[in-house]
Amino acid sequence: MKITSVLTLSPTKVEAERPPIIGIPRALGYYEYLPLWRAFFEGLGCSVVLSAVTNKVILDQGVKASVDEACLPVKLYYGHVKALSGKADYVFVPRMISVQSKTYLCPKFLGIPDMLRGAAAFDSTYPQMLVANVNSRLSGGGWDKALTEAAEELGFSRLRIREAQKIAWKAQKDFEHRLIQGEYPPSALAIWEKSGRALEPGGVLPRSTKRRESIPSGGPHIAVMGHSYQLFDSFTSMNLLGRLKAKGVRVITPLAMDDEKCRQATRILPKRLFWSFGQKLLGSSLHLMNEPIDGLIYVAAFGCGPDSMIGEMVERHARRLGQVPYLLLTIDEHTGEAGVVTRIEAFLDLIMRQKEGHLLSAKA
Amino acid sequence: MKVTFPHMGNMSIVIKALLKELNIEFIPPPPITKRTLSLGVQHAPESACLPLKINIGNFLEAAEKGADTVLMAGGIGPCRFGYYNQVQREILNDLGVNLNMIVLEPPDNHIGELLKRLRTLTGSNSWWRVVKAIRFAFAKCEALDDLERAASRIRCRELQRGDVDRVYAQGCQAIDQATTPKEIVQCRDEYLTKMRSLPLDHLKRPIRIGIVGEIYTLLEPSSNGFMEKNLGRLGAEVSRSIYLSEWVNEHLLKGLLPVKGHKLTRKRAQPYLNCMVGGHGQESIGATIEYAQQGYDGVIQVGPLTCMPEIVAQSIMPNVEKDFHIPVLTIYVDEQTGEAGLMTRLEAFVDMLERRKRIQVESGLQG
Repeated sequence: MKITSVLTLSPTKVEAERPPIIGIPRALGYYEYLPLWRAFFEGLGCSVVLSAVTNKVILDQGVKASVDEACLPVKLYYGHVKALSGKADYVFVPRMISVQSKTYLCPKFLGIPDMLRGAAAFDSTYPQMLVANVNSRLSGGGWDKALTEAAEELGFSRLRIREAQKIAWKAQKDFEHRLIQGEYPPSALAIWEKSGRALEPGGVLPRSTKRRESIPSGGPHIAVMGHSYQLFDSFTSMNLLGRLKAKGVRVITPLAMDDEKCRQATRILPKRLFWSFGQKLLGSSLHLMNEPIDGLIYVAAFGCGPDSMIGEMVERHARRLGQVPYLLLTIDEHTGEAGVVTRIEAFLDLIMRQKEGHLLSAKA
Repeated sequence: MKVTFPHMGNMSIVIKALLKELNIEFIPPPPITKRTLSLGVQHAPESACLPLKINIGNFLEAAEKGADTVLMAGGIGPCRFGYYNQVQREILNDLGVNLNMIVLEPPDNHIGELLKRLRTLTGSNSWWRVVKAIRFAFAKCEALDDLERAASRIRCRELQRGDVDRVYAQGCQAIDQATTPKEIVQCRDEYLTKMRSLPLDHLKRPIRIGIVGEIYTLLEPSSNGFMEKNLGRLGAEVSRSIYLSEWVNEHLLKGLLPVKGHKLTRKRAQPYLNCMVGGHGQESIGATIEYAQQGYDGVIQVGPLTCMPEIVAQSIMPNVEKDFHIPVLTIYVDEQTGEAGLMTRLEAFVDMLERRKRIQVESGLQG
């Protein structure tokens, strides 16, 4: 006979039906869509774990798992997915084909679930993946469909999915609004990065506890362009944003630009760009070039297709305009930190000298 | 209007035929040389892929000879080839070379955009005449492909080195000169017969290699270090996954003509790569599977360095290799690629395949 007492921890039933733990790799689409993903899965009742901030182990794992010719962000994605094995029941790997109508993302975004599946066939340590297609080129094929697909695979009901989507979009819109308001992107993202549960009961969005960081005034104003997975991962950008901030530079990134301004700025081009992230990069660069900024830094990933084209366009337009100093940093896993630091310092020196020169000539 | 165009394999013969039929003046770019490439490398973005650089070289050299209009293909993503013409326009503008660009690509909003672009090219020619010219040019394209296929197949059997290439070059020239559709077919048949009647080693059982990959580096021999020729001379029968007529039909004519397409090839790739990735990523996977099923001994994947679709395909290639037991060698080319280094890799691959085949045959005899 089985003896049960009030002291015995009951019920394995809840545990058996415990909602799955969803892992989100801290790479690629993460910096644009984390609030949407996290609020959605937490809204469903799942718990969410994030992979660790990029470190040497993740980098090494990624480099080992991927082909040499892939760009650094893609290599890191492999590493982040692998880092989640054993920590999550499923890792959410969206296949981002298109996030705006009539556009695409880079081919590697389109192929990455298959690339990971291929790697997993040789290596049993990969976690199970939850793949969903995001294709805004098809009518009704955007994030809503992708998230529904993913949640249905986990066995959630339509009603629950719809509720979670509402919360998710509220979170995403709030996040985007903060960015446009000029909040520093990593701090806007921080409330979604804490461990445990980010979403408060009843679907209330988390509030930031930290005071808004005051933006230093007086320092030079520099536009830092690049894919957000490149800029905000301190490994792939060699902590560029941190370094600039430490030097009192006011930084503006493409995330702080609204789509309409970007569209306006690219009107001068005879052909629409077909990469959605690329369009934002090119648009914000062209827009900011005509604003009172002191310099433009473009951070490109070595081997990135869109960067090789957009970086060139931006450079040529900047040179023709002749007002804004331009620095192109191309980074891969072999890039030495010291080299990058030297180039940034030289660039800042140049800008400071130019500013002083302007002041002197204004006085005279 | 003096029209020029980028080189891509035998494309120049085809476009020449088209423009001649339409009475449009044209200046073909000089053949691709070291100078072409270095002009391109000098002015193109460093990390752009190789075809863009060679294109720039072609345009600059053609402009030196007096061309003022470029006719080229485009696209709408996600491969960066679709944005080539825009970047190239900016580069040429900055150099003060004013070339008007006519880009053949799917229209953004309305079919009228494409027709308007075509009108600037065709001028007063009637649409009927345009259709006739396209059909004539396409006939040349198919004839050239037939010659090329035959050459790659029998090159490994030639007893006198260089025979096949000599006849092939003569055949291309003859087709270039042909003025009627009938003449084209005659030329093709004549040179196919000539090629077969060369002194050949008919008893040879060579290893068979399929080449898959990115279209430009597949079609333009100077960009891949004359890979097909070299493999033939190393004693391998070679086949290619894409020929010019197939690309023209699928990419430029949108499959209007009844030529074998790659729909089935893409479908074969689906268990491995279940999404279009632009360029020829899916075709590379699918074609490798097809070659394995046809009993080829090995596959070489070729692409320009940093080619995005081919990187996706390359990442998945090990799975195809394992499942279909076919060795795959991936080769990326760029302006730094040296011929000797490439040759060594091809030699090693061919040696490996020959040994593998010998062992298979021997164990087959025993078993």
